[in-house]
Amino acid sequence: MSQMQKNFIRLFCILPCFFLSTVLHSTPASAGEKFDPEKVYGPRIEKLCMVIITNADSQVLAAEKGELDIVSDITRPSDIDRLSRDPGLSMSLARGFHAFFLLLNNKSRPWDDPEVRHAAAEAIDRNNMVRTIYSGYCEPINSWLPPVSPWSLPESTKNIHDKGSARKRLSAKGYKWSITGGLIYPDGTPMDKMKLLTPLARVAPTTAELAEQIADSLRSVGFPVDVEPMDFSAMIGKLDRKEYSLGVIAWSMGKNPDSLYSFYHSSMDMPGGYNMTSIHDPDLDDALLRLRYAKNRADAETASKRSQLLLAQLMPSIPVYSRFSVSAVSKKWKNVFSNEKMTADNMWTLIMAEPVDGKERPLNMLLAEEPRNLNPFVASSAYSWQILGLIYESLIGTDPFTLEDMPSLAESWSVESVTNDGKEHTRLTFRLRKGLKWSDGSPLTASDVKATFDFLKKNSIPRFFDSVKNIRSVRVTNSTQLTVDMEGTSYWYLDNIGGLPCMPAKVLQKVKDWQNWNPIDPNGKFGPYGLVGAGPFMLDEYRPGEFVMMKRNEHYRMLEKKNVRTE
Amino acid sequence: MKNRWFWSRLFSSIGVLAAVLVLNFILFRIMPGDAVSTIIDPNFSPEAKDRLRELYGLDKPLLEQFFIYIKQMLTFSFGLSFLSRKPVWDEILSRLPGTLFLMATSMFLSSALGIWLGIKAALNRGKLAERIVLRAGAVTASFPGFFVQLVLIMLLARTFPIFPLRGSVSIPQPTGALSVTLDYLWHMALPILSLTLMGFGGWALYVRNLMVKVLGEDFVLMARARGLSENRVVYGHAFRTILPPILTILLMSVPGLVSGAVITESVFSLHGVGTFLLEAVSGHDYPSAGAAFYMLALITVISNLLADVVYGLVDPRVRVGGRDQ
Repeated sequence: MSQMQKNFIRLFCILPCFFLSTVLHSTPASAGEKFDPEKVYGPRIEKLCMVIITNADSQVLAAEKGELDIVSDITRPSDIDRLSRDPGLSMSLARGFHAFFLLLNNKSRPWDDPEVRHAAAEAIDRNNMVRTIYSGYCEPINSWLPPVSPWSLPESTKNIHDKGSARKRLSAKGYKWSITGGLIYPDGTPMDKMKLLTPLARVAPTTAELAEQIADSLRSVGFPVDVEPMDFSAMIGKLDRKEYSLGVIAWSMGKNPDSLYSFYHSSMDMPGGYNMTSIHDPDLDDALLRLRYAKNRADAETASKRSQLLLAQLMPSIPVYSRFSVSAVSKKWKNVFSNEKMTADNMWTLIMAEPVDGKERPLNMLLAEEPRNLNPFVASSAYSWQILGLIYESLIGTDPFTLEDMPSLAESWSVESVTNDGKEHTRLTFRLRKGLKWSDGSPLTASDVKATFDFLKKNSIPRFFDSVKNIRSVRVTNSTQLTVDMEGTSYWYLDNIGGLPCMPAKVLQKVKDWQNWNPIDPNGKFGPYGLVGAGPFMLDEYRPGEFVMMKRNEHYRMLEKKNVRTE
Repeated sequence: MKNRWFWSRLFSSIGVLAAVLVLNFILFRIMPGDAVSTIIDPNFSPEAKDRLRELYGLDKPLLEQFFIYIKQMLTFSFGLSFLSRKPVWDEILSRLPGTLFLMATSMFLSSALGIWLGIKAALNRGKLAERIVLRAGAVTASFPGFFVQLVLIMLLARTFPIFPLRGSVSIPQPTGALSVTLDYLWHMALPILSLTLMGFGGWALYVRNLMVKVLGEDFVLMARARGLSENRVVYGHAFRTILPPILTILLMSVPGLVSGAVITESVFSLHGVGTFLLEAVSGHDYPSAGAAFYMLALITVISNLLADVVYGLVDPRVRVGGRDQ
């Protein structure tokens, strides 16, 4: 294939992405408009109704019918196309934290050789997959962090597809091809059939199709790969026990790069660990260790870059694509915020949105699954936290434009390394905003934050276990300042601690059994009734299977800015 | 003799239940993975997973887990759901009324309509009415449920918005008992209609076949010869003869009332036992799945026993046979 043909194909793949990005971003009411988060006031709506609709077809129909104002996380290309054509809806598209990988068992032949792994990576035609399976609603990646992450390297979306180069790499390593095109090891033995594990097509149809295309790509350079669909749990079991050769998996990753430690450090190659590729490399281990325990931002940046470059060299797994997040919003609402990093279903939209006609009414937002439990200590699903995240606030928030840390309950903070008992450790100091209140009107102080951290640590609550396990001590300096000393040093302690949901001390004192506490049961014997937080909304009513009605927290810190603005 | 028959049935039922209990435990445990192993979150370390496993009781030896499970099942205290961390019994009870209403109403409507049409078809052999019933029955019984339901939603909730798309209450919910009841019925109309449409065909074909056979029997000829009215002949004699198999099928459908219609509940976003069962099995929620299957087995066994008893009540030959034995 000539270079011109290749360029034409690349252009053909990239153009739809540009088109989608332009069309989907151009429509929202105030998409991407720059604002100062510190000057925003809200929530401007009195009620937010999270409507529970589990069926994807019904979700689309409800949006078309006007029963939903916001539909989040639309994944099926046909649904995106259909809603895009609806004149009453605005669409927004943003890069997501979801990344899809081809896992290679680095311990088994032929994947124990980095050159062979590179050859496989070059054989995979990501652009074609993105175009044919996802109609362009995701982007091909060549990075172990999603491109939206502020820590991701600039070449994270570079197209490395080149079958000629893949063949050259294999040839250079002494591989040969049989008459039928199958690869022969340098020692003369033909390569055995390999199975590519994938979830069942009826459970994950697009993933199964993607696996077929990956197998096709690999076969085209001689890897004898067949797809083996299986139950997802069974697949995870095989990946965990390393009883596989290839497998496909999607990971939802955070904005920070420290997750790379969990996926690629040799110490995580253990039962239940996430190093499913079994990569063991001393340089990579060193870089990841430095990344995980970086003392400051500069060290973290250096270690992050080094780790990603090493991963690009070693290619323990093959990044395939990252899915865009797509959401739809009714044009009956104004002040809807979205940009290339956040779709319109974000917290800023919920805070600033107002009906275009000025008539107060609830904003109806889709909740795609039943939340099942609203006990913040045991709630594990993203859908429960879609609600709880609006009730509870943390010390540190996320800047909507850069995804970097920004003030939330804490107006400022500092991270320092101090030495105590001859050991160096991280000290976090948080200074809270003045005049903060809980949703019941009582004052929010540093003692409440300390009580939250102490409660989470004392009870070893699994969801928060990793964040609080290294807390050494928490001291309240005054009503608006507290210091958290951690065991050892790590720059990521700031996000781990600063991202915890804060709860009132008086509520925590009344929780007798955190596991069985049902905050929406007025007769509950395991803890108090109701959820008291410092977030923009409060729980008004939960009808299982139907809706979760939220009402505005009249004591929310951003609501008080309305008076300032009026003055 | 009758007592002996009853006790033998009872003991065999208990045996079935015991087998179900053991299988329930073993089958879920030999399924690959557990509720913790499928968590893939870099912020959830293997240490945190172990802590969760400990909370779920999955770290205990299998034999100990088995005894805890047996105790829970026998005392009807099913423990906490892994997924929701709420008592399983409360979860089932909160979903049962909706499912029972949906399934019982649609079962009643589809069986009543199907039986009536089946009789009419049998009485009109070779005529247009029979052909229509046979075709309609075959078509409705063979279409996939989700397809019929999606078409109905598109047609009656979107294109002609007569019925709501989802759920069982309006948002905001109306006030007043009458308004609430009417709102609920309005929401349930489409799911019930869809299940009735899909269910009546099977009944119509089955009853038609039974009736055609019975209407050719000598005792029907005799009844007509005695000058009895057609209604008396059909419903008082012929239909009564086919009642036992119909009742058996009805009673055997009772467990389905509880297990619910997984697809229907999912398509119409209804909060029911069907979706609960599905989530429990796919999420390795052992306490929920174990309890739900145990309850289903219990209801099936009781329905079987009831079917035997009722069979005797409606068919004197069975009682006579029982005495002879």
